[in-house]
Amino acid sequence: MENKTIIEITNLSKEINGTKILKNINLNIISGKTYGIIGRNGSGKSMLFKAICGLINPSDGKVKVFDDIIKNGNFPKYTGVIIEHPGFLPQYSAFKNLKILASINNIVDDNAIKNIISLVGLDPNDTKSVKKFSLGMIQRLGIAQALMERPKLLILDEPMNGLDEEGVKLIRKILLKLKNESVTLLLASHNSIDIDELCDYVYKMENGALSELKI
Amino acid sequence: MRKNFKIILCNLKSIVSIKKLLIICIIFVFTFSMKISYLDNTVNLSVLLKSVFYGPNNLLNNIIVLFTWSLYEFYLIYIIGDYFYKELTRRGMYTISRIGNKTRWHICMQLSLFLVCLTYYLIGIIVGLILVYYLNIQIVICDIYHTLNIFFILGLSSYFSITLYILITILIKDHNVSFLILVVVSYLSIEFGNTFKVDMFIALNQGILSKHYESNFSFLWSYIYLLILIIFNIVIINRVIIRNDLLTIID
Repeated sequence: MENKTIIEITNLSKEINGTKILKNINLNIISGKTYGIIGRNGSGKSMLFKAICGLINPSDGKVKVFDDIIKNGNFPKYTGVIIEHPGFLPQYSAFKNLKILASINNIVDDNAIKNIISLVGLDPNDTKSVKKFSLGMIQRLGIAQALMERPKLLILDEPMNGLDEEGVKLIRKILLKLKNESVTLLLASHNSIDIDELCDYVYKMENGALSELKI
Repeated sequence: MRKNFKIILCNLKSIVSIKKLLIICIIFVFTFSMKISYLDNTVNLSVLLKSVFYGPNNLLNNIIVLFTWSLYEFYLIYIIGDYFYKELTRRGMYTISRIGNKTRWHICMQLSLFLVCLTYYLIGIIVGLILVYYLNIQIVICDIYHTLNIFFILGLSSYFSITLYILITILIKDHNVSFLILVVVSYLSIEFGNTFKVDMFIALNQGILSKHYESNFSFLWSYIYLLILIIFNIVIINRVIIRNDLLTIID
């Protein structure tokens, strides 16, 4: 796995209603490294992440993740994701929500689910339904679902959104631990501390074009 | 195959809750109790179901029948529509990331919705039978074929309404407005079909039993007609889901 290219983006473009959202993007992501993408709101960061996850079809170019070409609505394997606002079943607790998601692949047991909920600072035994959660708690649960099945690649779009200072520190600590465990991280953030502390490579997205920044 | 089954089970768990089950039971207790006073001490199951699910042949003739029909028909569409909206706009990404493919996710979702439609009417029938039992009315089961026809046509036609609702939601990008449009179109279909004697060709009238008996068209016709339209709707919905960003299909 070491130093292997796991994401290969070649001449990727996306055009919506005549506007180019992504412009000829080329990027190779090496396994075990952390990549930060900075840029203003609407610069194209989320769209790039969606293209990597197969949530949108590119107008041009190709995306390859773990040797699979991502097309026709295919989602990359071994990947955990949080893009935009996390959404859960409001009538169920944090544990029940994750348990329902985990039951699809059945690779984590109840203890592992409880551990991941504790890890993000939530109470796994809390029976309170998610509809009573604050924005920060939902964000923490969103991060927990991304980490739950121990993915090899984590795609996190503004993971610190809605978190208080304590939450930001906790999630940063978790991401640092994952980085040390050689999980590949792709992170979009407005926060310069996240980028400085976590990232091996930093890219700037501006008007749909991606350029590498020297760090 | 086993994974598909798990996904469907996961969807069913997500749609159903204790609160919704209670509301469904209350709706069907009300629906059956509207008809029970007219029944004899012994009744055939298919006659009971025909009587309870007869439905409106026009809008103004019997307001209570129209109200009862609207209650069970639109509550089902509302709960499924609400679930599909949340799944599409928020949670779907997490499900797809585990399933691995948008089409597989969508097909499992459609199968789940169809199963929910059948289960909904099954719960309704069971609730009705329990009510009838407590009122000391004896049920005779002798026309299984007709009973099953009533059960399946109710489930299939509600499922068709749901695919239509999803299609309208995707086109106009607002699930509340599309629900209202579906309600209005359903009412217009009831009246239009009756006035111009074209019930047989109006898709939304296929699940209303009164239309079958009064306009004299077969259940088999309705099955074929609805299946063709359901497949058409699903193909279009799938194309939209595959081609577009899931999170922006509905605003």
